[in-house]
Amino acid sequence: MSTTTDPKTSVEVLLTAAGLTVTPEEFDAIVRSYPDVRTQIDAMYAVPMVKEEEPQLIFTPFA
Amino acid sequence: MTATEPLTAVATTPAAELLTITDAAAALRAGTTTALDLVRTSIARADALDATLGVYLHRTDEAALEAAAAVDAALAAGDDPGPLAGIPLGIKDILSVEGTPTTSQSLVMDPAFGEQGDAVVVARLKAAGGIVTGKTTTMEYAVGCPDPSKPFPIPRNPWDTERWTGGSSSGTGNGVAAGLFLGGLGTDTGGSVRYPAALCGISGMKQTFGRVPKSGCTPLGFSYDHVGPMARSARDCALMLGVMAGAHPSDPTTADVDVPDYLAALTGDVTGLRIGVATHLLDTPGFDPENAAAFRAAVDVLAAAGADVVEVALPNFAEAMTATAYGFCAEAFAYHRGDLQARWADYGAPTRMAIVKGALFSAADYVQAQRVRRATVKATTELMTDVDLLLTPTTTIAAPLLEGLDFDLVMATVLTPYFNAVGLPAMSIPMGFTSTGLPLGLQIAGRPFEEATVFQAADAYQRITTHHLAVPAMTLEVAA
Repeated sequence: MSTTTDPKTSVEVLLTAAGLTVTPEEFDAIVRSYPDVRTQIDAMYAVPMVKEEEPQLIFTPFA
Repeated sequence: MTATEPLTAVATTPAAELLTITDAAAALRAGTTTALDLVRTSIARADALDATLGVYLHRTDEAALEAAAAVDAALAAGDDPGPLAGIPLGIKDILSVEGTPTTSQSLVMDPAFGEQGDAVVVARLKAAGGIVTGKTTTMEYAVGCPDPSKPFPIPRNPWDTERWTGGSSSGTGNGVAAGLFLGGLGTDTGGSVRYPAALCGISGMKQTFGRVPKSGCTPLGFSYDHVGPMARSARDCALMLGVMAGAHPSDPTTADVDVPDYLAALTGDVTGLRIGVATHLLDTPGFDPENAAAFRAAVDVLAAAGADVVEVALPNFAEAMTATAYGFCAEAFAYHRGDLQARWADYGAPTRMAIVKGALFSAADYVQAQRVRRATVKATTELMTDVDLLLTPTTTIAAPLLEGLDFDLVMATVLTPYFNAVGLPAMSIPMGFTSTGLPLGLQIAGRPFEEATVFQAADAYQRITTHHLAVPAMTLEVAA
């Protein structure tokens, strides 16, 4: 996902896909914060030591 | 495990003056107080202070009095009702307790959740003689800030009631601080035990992930959640954790690791312990200089006591904080998606605006967060081959004003989520006060399943200092 997309469009698409209806004020707040949110999330992809790392997921085939 | 070595003299001490679980347990066994006296004191303080402080969502006065009478009868008969016998405890209202509603402080919560009886950890506390005095306030579903538009109490800080307790284990935090009970349970997904502990001036432990079963607790972030003890002293938390810890088949994330005798580790001696101090966090934007000074003074106390102090940098700090801050929102969103779609307005605004972040997080982002976590676990493991403990402030500032609270701004002031990302044990203990009388917290973290070393340092610090024994004026006025 890229930050070059218009935040308003991104947020609209993501909330619609999630089936969420927020208030207009909340929508504006999410749009305002979205670039910072995306920057923080994208920074996780820039950690060099993570490149070959397995995810810390919990899975077992036993119930 | 038995409660030993009271922090202060207990001879002929009335229940109203007993500050710690350790002292109360000793007084009970010495016959200088009774379980009924302890519970009656809790009830009296709740009658006087709860309307102001917003500690409880549900009180269990009658059941607590009955349980106290049973403890007194057992002691009179020469039986040992357990290490927490007669100790009043508050339970955060996202944990199921037999015979009480569990609301998660939400209009959305399915009341059927509370019909499952005692959560495993609550059952363990009761089996050790602990007495539940009620269900305590939380941020809705353990995330967000108070929402005055919803029909729930606003938890207020007993050191300044215009200020917040921190969250989300708010009612357990201010309840212990104000003496409405001597200990209690909180939960910690990004700091919700340690944050209110710091802001209310008490001690709180987020033990290693997997140490304590979470079954019977409403989830927030499945892979970040911990149920932890909160009490006035590190010794009290050690006593509680000794009762709470241990694997259970109802929670597959619990680890089958031996539970040590935590009290035996409390030697008061930190000689030779190597402590890594993350001074770089004092450069966090907005860091309160008084908090920085208190932190440096706390480090000096441990160094003077014989600890070997070295500077460290916490690896991947910002990215691990992000992995918690957005990772738990993604996990929470999976749990809440249907209810958010159908009942958006029934959620408090701060809570729904926190959880909605999970909808902004892609599947790849989530996997990347888990890769960051594994890499950071490896990096902290490497770091901790050289040091036994890590020290940071718990927060950047003391308790904020309730007026104008913003959850995103709150999250920028907590230094706790890092240890949820890596699952290491971390506790907050009081390290002093601001010039305006607000408590400040010191965070101590250890290696996986080495809570005993964390308790050892915290207890040693509390043998030298008295910050954890300070009592808000409103409590003293009730006692008077």
